[in-house]
Amino acid sequence: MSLVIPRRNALRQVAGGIAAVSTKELRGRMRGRRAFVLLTVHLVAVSGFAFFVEEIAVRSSGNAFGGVQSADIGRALFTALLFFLTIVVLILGPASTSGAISLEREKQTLDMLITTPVSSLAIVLGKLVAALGWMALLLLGSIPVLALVFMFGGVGPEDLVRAYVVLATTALLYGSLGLFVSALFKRTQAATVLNLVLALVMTLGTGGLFGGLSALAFADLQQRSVNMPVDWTQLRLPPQAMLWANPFVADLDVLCHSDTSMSGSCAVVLFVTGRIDLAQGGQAMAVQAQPLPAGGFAGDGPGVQVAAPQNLGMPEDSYWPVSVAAMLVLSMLLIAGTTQLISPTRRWRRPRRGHAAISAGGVLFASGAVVSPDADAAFPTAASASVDADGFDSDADSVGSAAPEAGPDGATDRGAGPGAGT
Amino acid sequence: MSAIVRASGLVKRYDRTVAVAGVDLEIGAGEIFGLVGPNGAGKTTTLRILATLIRPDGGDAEIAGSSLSRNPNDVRRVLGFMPDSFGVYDEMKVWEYLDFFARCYGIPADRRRRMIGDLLDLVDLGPKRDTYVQGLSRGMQQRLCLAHALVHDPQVLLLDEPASGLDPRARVELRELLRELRSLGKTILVSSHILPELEELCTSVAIIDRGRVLAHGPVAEIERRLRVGAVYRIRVLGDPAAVEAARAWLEARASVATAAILKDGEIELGFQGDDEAASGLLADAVMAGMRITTFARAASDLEELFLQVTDPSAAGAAGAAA
Repeated sequence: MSLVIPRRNALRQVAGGIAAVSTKELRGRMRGRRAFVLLTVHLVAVSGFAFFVEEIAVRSSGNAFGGVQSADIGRALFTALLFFLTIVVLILGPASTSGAISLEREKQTLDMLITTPVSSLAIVLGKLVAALGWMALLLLGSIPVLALVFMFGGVGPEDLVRAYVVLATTALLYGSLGLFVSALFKRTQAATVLNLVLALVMTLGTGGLFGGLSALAFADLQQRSVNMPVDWTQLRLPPQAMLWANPFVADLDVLCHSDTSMSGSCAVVLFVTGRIDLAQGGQAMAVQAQPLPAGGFAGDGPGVQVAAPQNLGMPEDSYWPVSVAAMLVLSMLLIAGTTQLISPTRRWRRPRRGHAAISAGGVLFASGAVVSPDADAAFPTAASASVDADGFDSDADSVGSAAPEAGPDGATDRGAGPGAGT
Repeated sequence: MSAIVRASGLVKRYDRTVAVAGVDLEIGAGEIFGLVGPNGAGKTTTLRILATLIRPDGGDAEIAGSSLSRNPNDVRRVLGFMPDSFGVYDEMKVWEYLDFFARCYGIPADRRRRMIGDLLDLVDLGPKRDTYVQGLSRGMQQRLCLAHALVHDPQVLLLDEPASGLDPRARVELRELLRELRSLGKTILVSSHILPELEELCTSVAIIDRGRVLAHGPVAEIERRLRVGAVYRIRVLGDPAAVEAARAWLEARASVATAAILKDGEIELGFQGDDEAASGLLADAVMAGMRITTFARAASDLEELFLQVTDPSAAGAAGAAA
């Protein structure tokens, strides 16, 4: 006398599964004091941080011009809060997902979950929705603090919208990455550690690498152009794609929209998008490539002069939409990969212990250097990064997870990586 | 009796070790079927293949008419699975735990509420409805986990080592619960390496070792097929000489493989034959003038059977004795 469970269409079934899993996750997460303590700590920290930034901005601004420039304070506050929230997302994204799969494995509840008709995709999405919902609570909770910038001016509502789009995408990417790593490892501890390391590598690491490679390129160009004017078109910058998963660079582009100075954030965006070669003829005002806050171009060469042409116009919105799109694509690949990892009918086996880190390294390369369908094929460094990725690929047994999408460029990309397995 | 679970030629390899090497099973509807074998014999792998958690490298199985490889989702709807270390979520109340799994099966809200009440009564956790799961005793968690496998009223239950780590009372309760489920029409496949608990419970067993099924069927039938004798203990009145004479008489019978005197007049027989033959032997012995006070079959047949079947040297000895 089996109960007849009505068959619904596949989409509704997936939606039902997501609802079931995310409800269960949020129930566990929001229960007890922990969630509210965390939320309170977060809001106190954001508010306190905003207070100090505002105080500092008021005093320094007042000293410089004899009168307080309200818009400058607004912009300083906006900059500081955007970076602060980005760091919060970078920490909480992995932290709230790195146990999501491995804990279920440790307690053997994953088996029980998989033997239900809920699909692997619905399990992954349900967990992601719960983690993102939790982060959304923190981000939305901080809106009133961020709205302080309107009091000072200099920043418009459209800037805030841009900022939240980048923050939300960052949360999605680092949440998906956390889930992927969690599915890769048996132990939550290992997953948590690797997740935080990956978050560091994908921000500080890619920034530093980009800066270092740029410095090499500059030095190279200057050496080649002794006794003649520097031909900036000959400058071979590293591919900007390696920074796409780095939310701080996207933040800078968002900040550039309200930045009137053409130095600081806008200069970095011009630099990253490789438009310095427009600055021939020396008419442009020379700007100094500023070291990034939160460890952007740590390896930047000393005293590199970056020229921005006067007639270029504002460079805003030239980078962050690309970065957001790349993060979305990478998130989808990671979700597909996670689904494959927990699915009993998966195509590739979960790598053995030692190989997991290599796979994760492959993902990093895929994220930084490779998911680039456009322009970057021109840069020789793109090819060298791909060689590295292919080096992992030779370990065919285990790294199928990450290496396939690490083709030399978008055109020869071998299928959709993990997505091809579904 | 029609088979509700039919597995043929299941194979699963891990790197170079073969966990399951061609397992065939046939389980009739309404049976309590025991999968018996030493640790590492391939019981868990077999169960996990049947539970759609592992895709076999070879072979296929049909559960309630649905193929494991072609329609795993249909199989999941008729199947309840309980893993060997039953998992429970922290930060969750008892009813929420069942509610979660019921939602996973797409059971509508109004039916969920009623069903959770019924299930909690069935597994005797009614008063614990609002308790946190991690606050339950091991036996209770285990019953809750069993209840989770029942939320969608499956026809077949797969229980991997359900009694491991339970105290004797919890074991007895579990056994009662499984009998009750059987009376509700469920087919239950239960694995264990502890024989006595299966012997009392199961209608049929499969003995599995090194990935192969060594014997399969109702316990009595396995014994008969393998011609592994039962052990009988006979107590005879009289002085030692009379007991020794009785022993010699018994040993000379065709159906008796071994006869040994234990102590004060008790003789242990290695007996080959069915109950008919046993009663014939008893009648003959009485006719021969033996003053028999006890003639009883020793318990734990399955255990000896198991030892003989799974240990090659013992099996050889048994064969030689026959």
